[in-house]
Amino acid sequence: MSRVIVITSGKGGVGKTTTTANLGMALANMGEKVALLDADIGLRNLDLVLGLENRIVYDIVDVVEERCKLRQALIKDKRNPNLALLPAAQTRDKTAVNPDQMKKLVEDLKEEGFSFILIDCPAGIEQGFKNATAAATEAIIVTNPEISSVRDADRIVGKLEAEAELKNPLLIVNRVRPAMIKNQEMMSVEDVQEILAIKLLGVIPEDDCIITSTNRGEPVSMSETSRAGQAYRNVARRIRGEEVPMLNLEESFGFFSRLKKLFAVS
Amino acid sequence: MAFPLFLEKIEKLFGRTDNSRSVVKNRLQLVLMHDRADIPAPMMELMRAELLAVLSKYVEIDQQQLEVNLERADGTIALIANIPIMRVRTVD
Amino acid sequence: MTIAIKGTRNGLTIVIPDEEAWEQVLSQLQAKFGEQESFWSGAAVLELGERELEEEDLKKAIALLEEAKLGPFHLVALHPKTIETGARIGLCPPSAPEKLPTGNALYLKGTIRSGQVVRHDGSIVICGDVNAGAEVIAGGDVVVFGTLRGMAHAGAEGNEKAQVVAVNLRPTQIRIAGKIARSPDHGAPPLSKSPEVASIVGGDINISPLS
Repeated sequence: MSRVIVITSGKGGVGKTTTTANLGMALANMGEKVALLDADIGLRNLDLVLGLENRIVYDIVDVVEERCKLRQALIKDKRNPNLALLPAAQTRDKTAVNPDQMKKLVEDLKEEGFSFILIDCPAGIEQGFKNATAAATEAIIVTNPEISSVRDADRIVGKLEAEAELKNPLLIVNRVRPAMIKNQEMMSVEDVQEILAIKLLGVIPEDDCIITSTNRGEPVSMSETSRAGQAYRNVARRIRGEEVPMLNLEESFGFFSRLKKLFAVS
Repeated sequence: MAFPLFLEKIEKLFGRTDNSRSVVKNRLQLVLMHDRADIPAPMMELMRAELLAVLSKYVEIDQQQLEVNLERADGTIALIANIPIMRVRTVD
Repeated sequence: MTIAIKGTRNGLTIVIPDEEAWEQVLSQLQAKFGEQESFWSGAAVLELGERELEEEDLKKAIALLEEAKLGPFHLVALHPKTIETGARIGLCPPSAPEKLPTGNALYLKGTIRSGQVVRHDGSIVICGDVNAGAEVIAGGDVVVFGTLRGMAHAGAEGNEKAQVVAVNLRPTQIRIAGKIARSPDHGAPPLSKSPEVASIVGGDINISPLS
């Protein structure tokens, strides 16, 4: 039984693609067979984050328009053969694929035996969003603790429920800066969760490693030392059903939790 | 320079709520209230027409100047109608 | 100087140097084609350069080549009298000159950006850069007077002799006919200071300095 999860946000630049790549890599490293589907046709990026850009011969539009077989277009990851990427087309636009074709594509991916199919949704609420959500049965919403991305996330929650019949989306709060939250200069994860009122799946701290690892085309979830990498691995474990406590960055949020930590040490 | 900074620290210590976190939270809650209470344009138009019909029984209205809008003010969402009255009808 | 024999797609081309005496030419032809008569056959082009030839002399050469199972013949000559002679004995220039992929090149000025596709039956010449995410697909050669970072496909209809040339060759991928080569995974290749050419050598795409 495969799980089909769309990673969406409404607003651009909050970390959908980074999240898709990292969750994919983390799940694959846990032994899952994972297909990543880049639905951002015309603005292809997932291949870059994974460092697979120079291997693309066929893309999603080639598969849909039957210029090649699905298997020919799937790019096996160079580090983990459990991970495969179906790249978006760069030279076409969102209208090149429709929701029905997307559903067919996901069905075919299921038949290939993938246990997880993660769909990287484009920003916006137009055709690309409709395509990306059409075939999904679960949704993860990525947001930043910042006014415009939370507003857009709220819109997406509503649209997922109303149009895509995706109830109970899960929340990932990305780019959290504990120091700013501590100084009351940023919304806390709890603030965001309280406003959106959906279940929290994970908290990813702001981490310079994201930039350096993207520069190299290596998802940060492969790094043992990166805090964001650890957070992404935790999210992957939660997706698989494990109970994993939130990363201890929350522990240093407030005065009381720090006290708790002190007690714990003594 | 040093004094306002000190003040800021004191304010934080006593939990004054005009830090940027609470400001942004309030703004967000308001804007979401508005987003979620969004009335579709056709419904707005219908409401406008029905209001007009009712009011026209009692007063003569400058229909060109009639404005009905959803606005937010002081933490709530309000339906604000601006209805210029030209003449009160005499009751028969 | 000896005669040169080249095999082309349209058959054999025999280049006869101007300086050589005709008797020498004939004996060289005899030596080359007499021994290996079974090896050569089919149409041939005789390139005579500036040489002036009498009908009789030309006929001797043709007779010799016909014995080696070659023919029909075409004549490429520059001397008007030789052309006339050739025409008299039924030799004419090759009817359709070899269609060169550069025959109808598309010339573009400016940067080709991500998501843009340039497609053309003939060769494509770009005066500018081809950015990553852009595609240039040519039936003939791809020539970039700038930096090639995107994907270039030369000989897209199967011409394995097509080439990709760039002043600064740093592509994500190069395709020639049905072959695909990608840039190495780790570390960008050192920036070449000179223009480079990608072509098929021994069945693989090979990159070498443009000489």
